[in-house]
Amino acid sequence: MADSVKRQIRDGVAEGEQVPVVCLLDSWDKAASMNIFKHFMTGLCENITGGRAQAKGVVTVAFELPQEFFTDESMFQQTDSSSREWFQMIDCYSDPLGWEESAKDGADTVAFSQHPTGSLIVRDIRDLERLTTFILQCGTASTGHQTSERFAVLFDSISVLLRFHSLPAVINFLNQLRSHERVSTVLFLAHADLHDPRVVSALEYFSTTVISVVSLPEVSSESEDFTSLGGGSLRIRQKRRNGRVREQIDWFYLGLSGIIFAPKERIVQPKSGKSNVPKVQFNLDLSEKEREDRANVILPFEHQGNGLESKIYDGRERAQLSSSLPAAEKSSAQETMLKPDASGANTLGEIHYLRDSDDERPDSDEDPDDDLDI
Amino acid sequence: MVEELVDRVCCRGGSVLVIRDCVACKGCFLLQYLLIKLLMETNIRVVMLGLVEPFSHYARIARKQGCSLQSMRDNGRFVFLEQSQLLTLQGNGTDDEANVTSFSDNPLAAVYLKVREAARGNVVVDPAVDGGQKTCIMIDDASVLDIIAGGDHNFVLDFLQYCRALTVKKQRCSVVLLTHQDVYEESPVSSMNLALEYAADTVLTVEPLSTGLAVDVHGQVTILHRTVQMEIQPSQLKAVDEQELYFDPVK
Repeated sequence: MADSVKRQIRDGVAEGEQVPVVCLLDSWDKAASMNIFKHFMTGLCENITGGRAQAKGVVTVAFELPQEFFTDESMFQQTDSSSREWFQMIDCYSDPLGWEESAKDGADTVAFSQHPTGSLIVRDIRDLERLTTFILQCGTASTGHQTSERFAVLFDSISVLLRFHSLPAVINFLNQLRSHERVSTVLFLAHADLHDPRVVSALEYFSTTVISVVSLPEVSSESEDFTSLGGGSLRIRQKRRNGRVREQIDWFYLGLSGIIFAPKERIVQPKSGKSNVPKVQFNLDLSEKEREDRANVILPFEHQGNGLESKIYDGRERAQLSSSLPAAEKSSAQETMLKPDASGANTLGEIHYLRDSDDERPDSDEDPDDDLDI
Repeated sequence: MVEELVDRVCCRGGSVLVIRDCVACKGCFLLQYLLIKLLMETNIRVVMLGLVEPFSHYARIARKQGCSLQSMRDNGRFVFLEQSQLLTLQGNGTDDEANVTSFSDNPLAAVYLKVREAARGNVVVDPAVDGGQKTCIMIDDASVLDIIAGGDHNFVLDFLQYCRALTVKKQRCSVVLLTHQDVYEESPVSSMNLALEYAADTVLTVEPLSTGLAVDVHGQVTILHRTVQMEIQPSQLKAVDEQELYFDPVK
């Protein structure tokens, strides 16, 4: 399923459709979500360099991570490091509020400046319109100024923007990007537990694909040739073009080289050896057949009456008993009482009981021996 | 373990270490422990914002452990910013303040400029060390920053963002921060604790033993690494006379 998200990011926008927006939601486990973000990002980069992707360039907007994280050499193993025109960085990490710049000249805030490594440093992330312009400018540069080509926009965390802007402003900002003719796909990360549920669901409504990261504190993998650094599951919900929604859970673990998807059985080991059965020499477990036989046994209280309402004689007067019975049964009850032998096989097992006295109530609480003087 | 933190976190540029303590078990000893380790065992410069304790307090404890903060301060390895130095910036109507308010409504912007000036000023480039000297910013403690910011958590987070993004000679600074987790446990639950956790690469939680007070064990430190991998390491500690610390991993 994660591959289908990868394909969705690669294929970009279809004719007459909205731009796909992929939202990655995490809670608490920053390490896993960063790696998943990187996983999708490297996948896209490989597809771009291989010419398979619709997008011809990438614009990465870094809010929460320094740009070193993205321009890390390991991400560009396969590609030629000299031509990174298509990979544009917008640095909103170093100076998001313009403190550095304004302190220098004490004058007006400079909107942006060029970093020596080629990335653009945004000096005021409170100005979303300007940020949109920067993203579009960088996008144009990433596609080599070809107006027909599209580019992908990636945000490492939208949560920082939500600290400065209201939800409608952020959604509007994303919507402007989504509806732009040059954008191929939008991928963003958000920390779900930092925001109200309202905000999270608004982001979920907005996106085509929602990936929620649920991490497991303890992950043990069966294969021994790597060291697992943690793992968990991804709940991926994809809205299809025809309106269908597909939801699936993928399991992953973090290896040394990044994120690896694997079936659940390999990641979450069954808790064997932690059963409550004490260690004894004989077998306490039941086999399948034994279990079936045991289930078929009718317990004594279950077969009485064979489905009919059971009537228990409590020793009261026959008249009382018969009056409480329905009319049809009344006569037969009297008959069997009077002529026990005549009724034949049906009367087998009948118990006759004569009470000592009528003044004593059945099941009396009185102690029958209280007149004894010991 | 706690001993590895110096190499693992404090020496890595751009990383943030958050120490969270509570009233029942104070965590400032960890800050002092890390400070002395940094100064004695590495060549990192330390810029300290002493918002709670004065310089003499740290100097006294360091002297007991054979480390002279005064001489470190004189040769530029250790920069101590007193609270009075930082607080005169606000509310005095000085030129600095007029300058600051013109570009930011955050009172901590002025504090940041002061920190930056201290961090970038008189950097001694040691030719024996490759790649220049790294800088670590220590904040004692962040709840005072909150007060300076007028209770606005976002201002504190902005300030923290600037501290970790600060570069000295192309090297990003690392940040060690002390904070009290119980002051943010207000109702409705504020997201400050969570936001700090997201900002942090490593969170150290100092708490008393859940079973109560003990003679031999003074508390428990839980280390949570967040960026490279999620990893939780609890260890129990014993403090002897504010000088020596013993950490014992919980089996």
